[in-house]
Amino acid sequence: MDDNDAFVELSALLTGLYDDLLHDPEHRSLNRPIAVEYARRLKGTFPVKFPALLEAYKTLATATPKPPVNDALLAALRATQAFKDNEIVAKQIVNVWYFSQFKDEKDVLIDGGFYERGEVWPRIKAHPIGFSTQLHGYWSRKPQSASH
Amino acid sequence: MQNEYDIIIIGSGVAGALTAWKLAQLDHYKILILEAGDNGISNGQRVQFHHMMDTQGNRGDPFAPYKDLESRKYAPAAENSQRELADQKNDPNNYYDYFSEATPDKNDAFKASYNRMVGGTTWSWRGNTPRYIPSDFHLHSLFGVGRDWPLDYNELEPWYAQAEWELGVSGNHDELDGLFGGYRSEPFPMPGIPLGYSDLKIKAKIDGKTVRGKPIHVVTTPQARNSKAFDNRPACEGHSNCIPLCPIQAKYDATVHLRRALEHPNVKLRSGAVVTRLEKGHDGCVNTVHFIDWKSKDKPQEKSVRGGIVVLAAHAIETPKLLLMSDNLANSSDQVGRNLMDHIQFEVVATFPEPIYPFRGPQSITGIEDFRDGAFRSQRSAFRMTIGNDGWGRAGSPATVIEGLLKEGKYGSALPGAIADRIPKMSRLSFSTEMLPEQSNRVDLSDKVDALGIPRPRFNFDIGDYVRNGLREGYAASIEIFNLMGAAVLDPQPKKFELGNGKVNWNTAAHIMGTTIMGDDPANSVVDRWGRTHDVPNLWVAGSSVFTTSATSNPTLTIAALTLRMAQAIHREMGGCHAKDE
Repeated sequence: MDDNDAFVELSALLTGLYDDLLHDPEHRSLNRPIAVEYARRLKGTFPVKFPALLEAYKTLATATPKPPVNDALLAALRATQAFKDNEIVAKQIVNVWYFSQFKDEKDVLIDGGFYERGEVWPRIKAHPIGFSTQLHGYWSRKPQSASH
Repeated sequence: MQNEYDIIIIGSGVAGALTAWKLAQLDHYKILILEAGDNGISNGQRVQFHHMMDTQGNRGDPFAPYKDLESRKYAPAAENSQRELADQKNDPNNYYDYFSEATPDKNDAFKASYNRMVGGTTWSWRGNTPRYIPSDFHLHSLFGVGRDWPLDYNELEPWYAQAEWELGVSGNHDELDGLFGGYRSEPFPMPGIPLGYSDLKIKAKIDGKTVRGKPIHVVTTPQARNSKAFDNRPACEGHSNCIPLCPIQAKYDATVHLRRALEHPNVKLRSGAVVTRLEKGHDGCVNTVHFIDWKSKDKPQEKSVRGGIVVLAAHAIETPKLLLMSDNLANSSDQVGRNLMDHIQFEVVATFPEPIYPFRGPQSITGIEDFRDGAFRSQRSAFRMTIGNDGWGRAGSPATVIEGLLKEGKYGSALPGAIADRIPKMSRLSFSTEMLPEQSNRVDLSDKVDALGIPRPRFNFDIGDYVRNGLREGYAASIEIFNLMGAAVLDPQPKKFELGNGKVNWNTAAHIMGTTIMGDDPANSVVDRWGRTHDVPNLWVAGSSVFTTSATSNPTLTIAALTLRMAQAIHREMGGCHAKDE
């Protein structure tokens, strides 16, 4: 299993963004290069723990028959010792997808490079802080449904 | 020796910029502005700072967009000043130093900081511009604590009105006219900022209700933020990023008046110039300003310039530092650096019963003014309360919520729904208390130096029981208000409030005041009612360092009003010593 494919699946599993990362072809395609970049930055920050968590996922995901990527697989992953040992990386994978930033082991924030694509904003019906595209006074109204 | 300039202004924040602009309007004065920082004031510079917001990590950091400036090395500021005292003391690189043998009851960190940039701290201010109320000028006479100003609300009122026009303040006249006796001679130049969806929801639940025995009112905070196109700047687009940077300059900052001042051919700005000393002549007037030009080709070079009048506008830490570095200049009263004040603040956060969708629009639009005055001020501080539109504000970002969800084990399909449920309900109340001017709260010179060999500021600081009791009242009021909303107060709060040793937790509003205090008596104050130092006839001080009391108002509008008034006084006095070489 390709590391990038594994990272996208692992990301979907942890974040719950199954549609955006796996099922919706357009979003999946748009998110692919972002995933590659996030994986690169996470691996650079966690050179031992990131591969260890990814390997633990690959071990489960390459079973025969291949298990579906869903909460059941997540439960299996969370039950592994490798997950428990490397949960800090799991949390940072969630952070990087929702905020395009994550923390290293010393709590220093690291930029993911795609701030405006953070998945948190559509879910809370807000624009990325600092980057509104609406007009004066929009904030008085109840937000419309997000595009996601 | 001939003066090169009629007026030298040290500092290019709101006080320095307004001084330069107003004096340039009044006559063909040759004016030099010396600024330690070095950055542009164009729209291109703003775009570059905004871009920094997209590439750096901590978006809650007021210094975040400015991290790449070379001036951070030569004109340092305390970028981690919100840490507690022990953390600050244990950091050898901390810009702030503390008395090694602090007075036993002086155990607090000084948590406020400021930007040393062209345009000053207004790049990253929130933009709130309430006025003082009349009693704020008579704290000692009315309540037996603190001091009285040498002027009153009526004297300053016309200057407040001018300042509101210059800064471009939006507000609702009818909501604030007559507030605790403070009349308004003119309406605001713009109507108030439209309330946010969250403000409307909160107001519906609490407006007119009784809290701590008094009816409360949710009013639109006056703010230097355009509610329509004004002064060639656009209406606010609600980027929710007032601190640390308004990306479109709908919020006023001092670059407005710097640009305007620099349109006058006789006004010059010299950035990268860290002033180190003011030198007096035989006549008792300051005639030479020494500075280090850190932008010189090879290495920082010492230089000097002569002027007829000197205006110190370097904010309330660097201004007293500079006087102390100048052989204790203008300090016959021994008040330079003393009476250091801040607005001591705390945030209470809660979960509103339904989504209110924060992070849309300005970070705060409304507030509650009802706690700003009363007989209680003889015993404890008054406070202003603001209603946040930014989730849990500094107490916790959306990332804090997700962190909590992951601790609960909410990975996978449970997570997006939980995020959508919890973050839109985040709500914040914050209260900022007044501090009393105390002799022992002070800044002076450390024996530790910065990159240019200039002493760092050294502090002795304690917020005192007057403030602590005000904070306790603010906390109790916040809990009552959240209860009225039906909001679930976060338990425990991200920062525990009562610390159990008679002390309480607190944060800074970063409103530094009082270190060259204003008064009529030269024996116990540094500047007179106009801002001129008692000791040196051609040396003036602009900015919040002259504040006699801190009151509960965010200081910038009062800085602006006093500065405009001071500039007029300087113009009248230009016939004085060394003035205007012909």
